Amino acid sequence: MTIADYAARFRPQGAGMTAAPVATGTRRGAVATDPLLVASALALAAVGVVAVYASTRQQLMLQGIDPHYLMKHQIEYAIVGTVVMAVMARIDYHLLENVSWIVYGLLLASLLATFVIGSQALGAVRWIQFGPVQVQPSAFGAVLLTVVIAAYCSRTSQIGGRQYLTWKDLGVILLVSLIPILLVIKQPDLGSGMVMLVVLLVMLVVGGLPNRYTVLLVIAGALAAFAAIKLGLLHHYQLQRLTSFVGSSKSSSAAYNAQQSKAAIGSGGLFGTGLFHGMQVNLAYLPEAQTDFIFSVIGEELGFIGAVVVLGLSGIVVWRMARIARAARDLLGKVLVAGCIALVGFSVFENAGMAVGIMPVAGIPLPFVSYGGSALVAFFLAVGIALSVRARTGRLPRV
Amino acid sequence: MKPGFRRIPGRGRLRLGYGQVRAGRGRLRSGGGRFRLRRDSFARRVLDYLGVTWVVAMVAGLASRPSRPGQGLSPAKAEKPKVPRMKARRRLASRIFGRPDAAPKPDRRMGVVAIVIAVAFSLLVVRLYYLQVLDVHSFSAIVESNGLRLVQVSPPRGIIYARNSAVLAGDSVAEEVTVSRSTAATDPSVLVRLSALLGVPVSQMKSRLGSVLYSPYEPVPVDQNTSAADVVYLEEHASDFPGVSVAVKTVRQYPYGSTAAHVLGYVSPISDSELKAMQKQDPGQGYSASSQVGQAGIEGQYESYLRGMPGLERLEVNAQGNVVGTSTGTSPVMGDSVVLNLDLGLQQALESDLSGEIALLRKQGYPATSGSGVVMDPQTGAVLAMTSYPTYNPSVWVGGISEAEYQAITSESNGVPLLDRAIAGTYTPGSSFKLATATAALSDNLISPGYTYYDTGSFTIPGCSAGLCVYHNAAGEALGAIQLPLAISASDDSFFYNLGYMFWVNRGTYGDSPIQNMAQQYGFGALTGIDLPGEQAGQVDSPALRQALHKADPAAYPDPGWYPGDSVEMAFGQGMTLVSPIEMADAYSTFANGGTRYAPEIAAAIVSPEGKVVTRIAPKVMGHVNLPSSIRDPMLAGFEGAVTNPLGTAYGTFLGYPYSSLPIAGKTGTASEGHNLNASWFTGFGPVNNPQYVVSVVINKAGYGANGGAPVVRQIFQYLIGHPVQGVTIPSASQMRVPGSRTAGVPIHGPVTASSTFSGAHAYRRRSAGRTSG
Repeated sequence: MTIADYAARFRPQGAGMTAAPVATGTRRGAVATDPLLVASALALAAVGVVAVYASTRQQLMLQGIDPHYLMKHQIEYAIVGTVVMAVMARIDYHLLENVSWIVYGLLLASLLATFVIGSQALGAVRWIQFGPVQVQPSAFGAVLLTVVIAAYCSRTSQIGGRQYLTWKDLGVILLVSLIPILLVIKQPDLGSGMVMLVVLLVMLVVGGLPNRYTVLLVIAGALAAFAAIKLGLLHHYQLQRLTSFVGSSKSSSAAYNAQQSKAAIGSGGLFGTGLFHGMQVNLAYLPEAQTDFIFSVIGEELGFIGAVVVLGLSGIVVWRMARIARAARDLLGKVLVAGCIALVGFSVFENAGMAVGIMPVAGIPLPFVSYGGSALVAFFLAVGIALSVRARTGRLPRV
Repeated sequence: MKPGFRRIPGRGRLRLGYGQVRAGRGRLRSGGGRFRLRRDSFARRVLDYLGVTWVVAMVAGLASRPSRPGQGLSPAKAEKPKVPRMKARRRLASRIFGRPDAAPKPDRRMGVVAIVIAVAFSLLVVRLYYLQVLDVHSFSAIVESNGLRLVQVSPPRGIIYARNSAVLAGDSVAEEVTVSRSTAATDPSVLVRLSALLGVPVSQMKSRLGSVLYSPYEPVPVDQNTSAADVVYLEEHASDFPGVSVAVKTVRQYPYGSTAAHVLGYVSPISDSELKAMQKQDPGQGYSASSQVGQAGIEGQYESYLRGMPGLERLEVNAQGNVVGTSTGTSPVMGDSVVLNLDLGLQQALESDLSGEIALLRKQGYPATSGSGVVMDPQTGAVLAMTSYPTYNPSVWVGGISEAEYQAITSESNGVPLLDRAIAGTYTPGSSFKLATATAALSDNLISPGYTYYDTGSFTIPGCSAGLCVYHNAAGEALGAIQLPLAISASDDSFFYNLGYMFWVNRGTYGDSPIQNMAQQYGFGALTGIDLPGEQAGQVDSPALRQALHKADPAAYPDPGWYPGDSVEMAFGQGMTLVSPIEMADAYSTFANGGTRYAPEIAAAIVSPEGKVVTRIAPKVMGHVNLPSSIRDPMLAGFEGAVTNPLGTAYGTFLGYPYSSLPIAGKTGTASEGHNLNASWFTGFGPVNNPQYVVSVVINKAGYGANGGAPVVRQIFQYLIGHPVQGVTIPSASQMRVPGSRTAGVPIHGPVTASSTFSGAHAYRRRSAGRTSG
């Protein structure tokens, strides 16, 4: 294959691939959807709104600001996210394949823009201002990357009717996806970069990467990470955070944060201290309570029960999306949803794992729960993509 | 290995021949093994999935000779010897392990991803269960220690009242500036700005911040009694002073300034040794390193009552070290108040009269370095007024005394104003001591009241050959034939020289120390038992004292012997005898009331904050002097004569005194050392028939007693004529409430808290910035 052939795989392949929504049997005209998935996502968002209020009201009051200030914002973000999800569910996901190169260009442009703005502002900037709206491109990085990779995977060669990725495909995908990932890490947003890497890996596996390449890829990734550490490409504090969960240095702020988070969750007990009664939260011992450590807020104030409910709702989201992925009619749909699953699943594991001290401290949001508009909309977008795939799939298998 | 049936994984039970057994050692040993894993077996699938198959195949391929692909491995199936090297190896791998290149099944892989996620989530649940259910207690403790600080709240101190309910030492609410230790550590520039505002040196603030005297959980006070202007400035510029707050504290307040300063004593921060002693002595009182403790006077004496019980407060402290709330605890209990016998007006009169007299004496050329006065009720021992000159204002102790202030109240050149000379200053009594000599002479029947002595103006010790043999009257007078009353009135020294000599000559009859014994009965040379700490007992000259002094300091007291001259001298209050003003007042009180020696008492009652009398302090009898009228009457006539008889030593001083309004009697005392007149005493009591007041005043280096002490005593009696001392009134509970009292240590609310709020917000913002770089 020539380079032109590989390049062609990013190009739109005409409208022939689009599929009409599958009507459910009961109501005419109604698009097949997944009410349980939507309900779980919305429930998580509702929990998030309450948790954001619980974790910010005390500090806002101390500053003399309306204690509902951030909560109100979170509600707005959730509404925007829900609309984005609904719109995405309506759009044929094959359209995404067609516009994947536009998506990729947008992603790169916005990431580069943050560097330009950042250099003008003489400091790291993660935000781009669109009128009154601030957008954090790195929050959308993973879900946009999903679209790009899925589009490529859907056009690969086949063996015995099954598509697989050659090592050249792998090289192209890596080349294409590592550029935004490195930009995100350089921002610096190590957490989002990590999520994107995991999403990439999962999509490659589902997209048909032979096992030996997967093994090689993991080994190469480990070597690259080792080299990055050795060559000092990572900031000292980033290393400290990544290693703090091992429990090495007690003095570092990362270890302190992890310790306070564990203490908050531990003191919650089975039923929690009660909503708005968490001492760690109210006395601001919990760092970044409304974003990175919101799971700790839930753990402290709502206890084991509350934390498990949040994990359970997240689990339902992953399960329903996995179900959609398996039933998807084509590899594009499967890989798309697989990316979304990886995004949500790994985010939950990393965020909650960090809060309970089994994962390194990396600032990534808890899906649908953490405060922040860009992240919330991005997660709803991921669910929207899954719903779009669901709408164009026949009867789902009973799982 | 023998041939026979074997169980081969993936192939079931097989019968193996010899060759097969030999070739089949180890399934993965080499590619040439006869027993391949069946492609769809579970073990094979796992290895396949993990990529192990592929890696092993690679290794196996490299280990074998690539120039002859397939040989020795599986020769029968090496069908294409012409394939390139790499391909041959890959083919080898597929020979051994089947086709790893089998097209992937996305759904199966999706399933594996889902399983991985499920396992990860289960891990989270297990971890949560461990943290929140199994190990919950250890974390609760961390959180408690994080956010809850147990802090002692010092109670308002009990009030000290005069007998007419005037507040002598009360509580007032003062504002003090405190700095949080964490802020001072992270932002030292705050201290510099604070120093510029308050004028407190940075070094002093730093030493306080590092001091163990202050609780580690509370902000450290760096400035007390902060002016209102500074407080307002801090409020308005709160953002410049993160971690700085203004706290309200109750402090001692002295509405009458220096009045009764020595009696009241003072309160100061507890020292390490005091803390240990207090905790040992009274563990329930809740003394801590930041406690204040009464150090002298009534504050020290009645510390256990005045102190009250500190409250305990559970402070909620946020991550920035700011107190954001208080939760339940015990509230502090105000200390009991002490009502004194002291009459405020009389006290003020005594102080102004004494200082006025000293000023007058100094104008006349006397050094008049110091003085003291005591007014007692001889019938109960109640101390109605007591002063020591020079004095000071006890408010210098409030909020910590400065080095300069401390120097000022303890330096010799200033006359050590801190010293309470009324109880701790001892002076040679001079003729005032004749009280004891006369009583001894009469009660031992050395002389009868009618005994007559012929005063020639001097007394020569019979048979004396060396040293001082001739003793002159102090004023050089020669009164001729005199008896005891006139000898007392005129303070005729020769008469008493003679008594001393007679006691010495007849020591076989009267013992070695007849005068000393009587002096002891009057309380001379011993603590009076006054309810004040730091009392210094005087001493009565005696052979034993000489021995003891010589033994203690041979250089200063070279001769331990006792000579007739010593007996002569001690008879009229010279020699080594020293008496404190309170001893003098107590001794004359004993004579005045007919022989009962009471302990002088400053406090009259202890009153609870509810206005209930906890303890009423009853008169305490310390001893008796047998004073039948045969003894007391001639002596009383002599004391009266001192004031009324033209020959009396104080006649001139009391000329024009309204004697009929308050008849008084008294005795001068003039201590001399060579020709230097040291202590000038006058002790008077009245009314003569039923004495209600004993007034004793001494002024150091002020000439004759009639000159120095007597005018003050006269002024006091004149004051008492117009202002007789009333009974003790117990203040009511409403009087006892501290104005605007708030518990100490808690930041006041309102704008000032903005400073702490600001620092909180500041840190909050900084951490938020930290998150975005994460």
